Amino acid sequence: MLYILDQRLRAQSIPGEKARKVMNDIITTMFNKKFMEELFKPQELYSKKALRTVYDRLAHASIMRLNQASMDKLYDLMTMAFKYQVLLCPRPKDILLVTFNHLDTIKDFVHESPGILNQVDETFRQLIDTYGGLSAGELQLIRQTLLIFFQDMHIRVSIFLKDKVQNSNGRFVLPISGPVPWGTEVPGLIRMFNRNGEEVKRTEFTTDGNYVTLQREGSFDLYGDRVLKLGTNMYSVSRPVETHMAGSSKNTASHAKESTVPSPLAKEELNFLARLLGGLDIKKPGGSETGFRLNLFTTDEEEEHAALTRPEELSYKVINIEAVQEPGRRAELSRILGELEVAEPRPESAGKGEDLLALMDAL
Amino acid sequence: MGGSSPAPDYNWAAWCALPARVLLVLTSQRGVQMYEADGSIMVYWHALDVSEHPPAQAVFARGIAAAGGRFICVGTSSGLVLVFDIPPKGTNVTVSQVLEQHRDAITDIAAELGQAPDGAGDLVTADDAGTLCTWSTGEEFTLRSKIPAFGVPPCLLSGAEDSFVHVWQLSTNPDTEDIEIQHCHAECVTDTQVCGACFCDPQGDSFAVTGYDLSEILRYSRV
Repeated sequence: MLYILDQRLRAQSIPGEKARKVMNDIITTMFNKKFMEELFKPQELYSKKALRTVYDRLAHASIMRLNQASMDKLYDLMTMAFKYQVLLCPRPKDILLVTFNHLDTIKDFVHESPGILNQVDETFRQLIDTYGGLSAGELQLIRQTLLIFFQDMHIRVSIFLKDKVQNSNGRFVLPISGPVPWGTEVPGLIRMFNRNGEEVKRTEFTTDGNYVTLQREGSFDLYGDRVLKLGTNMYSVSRPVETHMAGSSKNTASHAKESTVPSPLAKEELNFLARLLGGLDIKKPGGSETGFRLNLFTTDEEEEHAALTRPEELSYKVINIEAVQEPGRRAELSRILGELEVAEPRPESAGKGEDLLALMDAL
Repeated sequence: MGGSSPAPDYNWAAWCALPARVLLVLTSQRGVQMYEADGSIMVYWHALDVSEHPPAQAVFARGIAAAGGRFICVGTSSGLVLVFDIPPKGTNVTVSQVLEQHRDAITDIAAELGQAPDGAGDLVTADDAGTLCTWSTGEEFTLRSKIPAFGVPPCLLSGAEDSFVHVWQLSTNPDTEDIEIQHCHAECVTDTQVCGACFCDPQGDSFAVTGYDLSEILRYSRV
């Protein structure tokens, strides 16, 4: 998310000070101690709805606003990118290296703010402590759980299509050449052992694959060369590529049918949200800072068009607070959201300013 | 032990310790007999159905185990495993289930004492051909896995997340009797992390593949 926001802030020529403030605000909110405490608790995988709600909240942790269409696109891009990274991990432990690549870049974004840097380093240490010692089997279970979450998502991303990392059917390319995972051998040799454990015979075989041994292992320390490129910023300054999204791979004739019946939400989902959002300590911006709207598309017209033509099956369901059945729970969530509400900024462009709660209540 | 006919030749005897009681179980060519632990009273008698066996084939019961906290399992020469539901007291023993996975005479049966972990089998049955079956006990016994008989299967299939499925040839070295492996064929399922693969026929002439994010089952055949 931060990579994409960083690129769009530059593409939209948002003044340096403002852009840095947005990035700092979001990062400091994300790495807030209470929030991290909640995330690190052993728990079930979040539902898609709940996760999207949290990201909506995080993206609006500063003076920046996003229309629904832009938020949808942002979320599409970040989930597909993360799916790609998790899928392509050569070995289960590499998901940690991917995470460390993310954190390394985040630290770069906030290198001028020692306080926020500390927050990130704290989380880094917690990650190393919690996950550094897990077995390959446990890490593979984590990876597979994440992959289940992303299953059947095939949104085509133009930067991926251009780099030939994704096919036109939305599936990612799995290379059959290149380095093998750290700690494994290049396939092609069969060794046979007798019942005493002595090697008695060797034969070779060939396949279409063209693999080489990996020269060195990435670092799992606070600082170090991760070696793995997955998780690094593909939108860096030297590659100002358009972040536009190709259409869905399915052409459906369906249209969005507005449902007026509130969906009964699972108790756990609400509890989880209340705890997580409660932990997000969103600062109210100073009076002097005026807000602005970030557009993930090249023009306002494009953004409007995207909003109108988004296929139903890709619509993200954000949690509708009004649909909450239990009055006590509804009041609590409304209170938390109220506390987090930022003063409505004067919009810089002619786009419609979205009320925060309205964003949350979109279904 | 009274009775008009001469006592059968018992070939198997076992104490079956269930939570509520201990029974002495004896098997023979005629069937299964269950006694109170001190041998004083016969609780139950089950005659083997000779008609279930092909003619000129030996008939007997073999392999006894207490399982699932309330059952006694007994194997037969026809490959059937009889599951007896044992009441905490008295003689009202019933045959609750007959397990029909084995085609050869049951060699032996063994059961796990106590609770097996979720999904694990707690009963193993073995037959003379070398086939092993594991089961989960309960109201309804369910087959957990079946390991085929002795002898090296001709082909082996492996699939992995690198998108490759490999077919291997297994054989036994006649001189050393060591098992050897040869690579037969590699299939690259483009851009797919293979999650499952299995042969569709016993000769290994075709196999099916499933993968992550794949809504289809792919089938490959030898041409």
